Amino acid sequence: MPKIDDPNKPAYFPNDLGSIYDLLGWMMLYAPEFKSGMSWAYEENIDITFFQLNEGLKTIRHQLGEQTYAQLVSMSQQMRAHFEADPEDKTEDGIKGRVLIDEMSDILLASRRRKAPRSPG
Amino acid sequence: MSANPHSISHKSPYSQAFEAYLRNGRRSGLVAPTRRMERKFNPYHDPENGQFTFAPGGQRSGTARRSPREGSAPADRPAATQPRLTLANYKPNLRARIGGNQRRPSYDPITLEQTFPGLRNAPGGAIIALADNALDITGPSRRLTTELAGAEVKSLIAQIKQVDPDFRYPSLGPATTLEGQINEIKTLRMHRAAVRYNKLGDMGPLQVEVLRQMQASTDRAYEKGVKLFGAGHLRPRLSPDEAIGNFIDRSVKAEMKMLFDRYDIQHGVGRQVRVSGREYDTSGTDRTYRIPDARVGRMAYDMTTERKLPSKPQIRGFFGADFGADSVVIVRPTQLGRGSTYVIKKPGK
Repeated sequence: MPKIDDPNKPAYFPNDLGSIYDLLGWMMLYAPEFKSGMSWAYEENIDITFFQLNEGLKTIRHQLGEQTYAQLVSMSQQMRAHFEADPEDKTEDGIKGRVLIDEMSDILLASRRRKAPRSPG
Repeated sequence: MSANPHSISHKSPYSQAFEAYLRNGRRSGLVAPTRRMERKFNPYHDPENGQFTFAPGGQRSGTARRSPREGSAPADRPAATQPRLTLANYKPNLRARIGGNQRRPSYDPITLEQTFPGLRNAPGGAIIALADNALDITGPSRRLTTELAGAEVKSLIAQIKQVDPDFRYPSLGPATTLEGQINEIKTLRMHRAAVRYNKLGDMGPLQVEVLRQMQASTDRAYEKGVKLFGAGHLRPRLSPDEAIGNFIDRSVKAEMKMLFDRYDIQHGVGRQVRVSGREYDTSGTDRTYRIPDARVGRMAYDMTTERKLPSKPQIRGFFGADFGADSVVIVRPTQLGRGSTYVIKKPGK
């Protein structure tokens, strides 16, 4: 098995719609720092979080359809810009970022209802 | 070799009287002197009734969260019709040793039965709450020093190497603070659980570590969720509890997937470890399913802010699923009060 902190181990990203939906829920709580403080999660930051989100979206691109995928990627970029503009979570940008999380979550839920994929568990 | 009947006995009159009593049942009338009685100090008292206990919890043990006068949490006073919630009776072994004469440095349960003492012999359908601080590194006794934590780190590394000889702990150097050492211990325990599961198929330590991680994740998410809801940042749905619970649920599941990925624990359909996977019940004519938040072997975990009882269809569904749940662990935020997290044993077991 890979060693702890193995630099060759690829970073985690969600690979199904339900997991991306859950990641957005995590982002809602831990924005704009994106650090949960769990003892094993010491490399958390905004770069890794958006890498996870964007790579996750790529994996379900076909399931989403090109139009929805492009919309979600654009929303992800806007969201990151808002959170970067409000690192202390004190201005309107933080609120706008969280509104985008809600909107992205709604789009994913709607996609799941359309496709009704099985959760891989 | 038989004893010489003519030899002079060096036993005290009280010992001789006791031996005579054992042989013929007659009392000699001698009374043992009280000065010879062995005494020991037990600082633990049950705050509910004042009786001596083996577990911390009494005021003098220093671990009680409140005095009996302050009343009990709702979980401690269930309605007569509800199953009684039993607080786990943790029994620290103060004489435990690791190697040589060193005192056991920390509380290290490696099965859920050790985390919920009494689970093994509990009747089916019993609800047993987690003891206070049972998931802390120090455990309910709260004893840990930098020196002892260092010994625990070494011990854990040795235990991991026993199963995985190639294991190298990539530490930049030993942690110098107790907090740093506690983080090391948590990380190494999780790694030990992962190694034992991946190499030996041993699910016991992983079941404990999943509970520990879920509890920590739930507590942090709850704290954040309450703050955000108070600030108006969470979109209210049907109720505040639902709004907060929804985000905690998603956040905890996301973290469990990250955790399993980090420790290379395979999870998903057909695996013993699952996060938010459908668990089917094919025993009836119609195939049904339930979705526990997580599962390790025959232990299901459900993260929730509400109190769930064995009679709830969801819980009955977990027990009826094909994976044959032995128990369901209900993980609730510690902030909700004493006994918030508990285990439900399969009814009829």
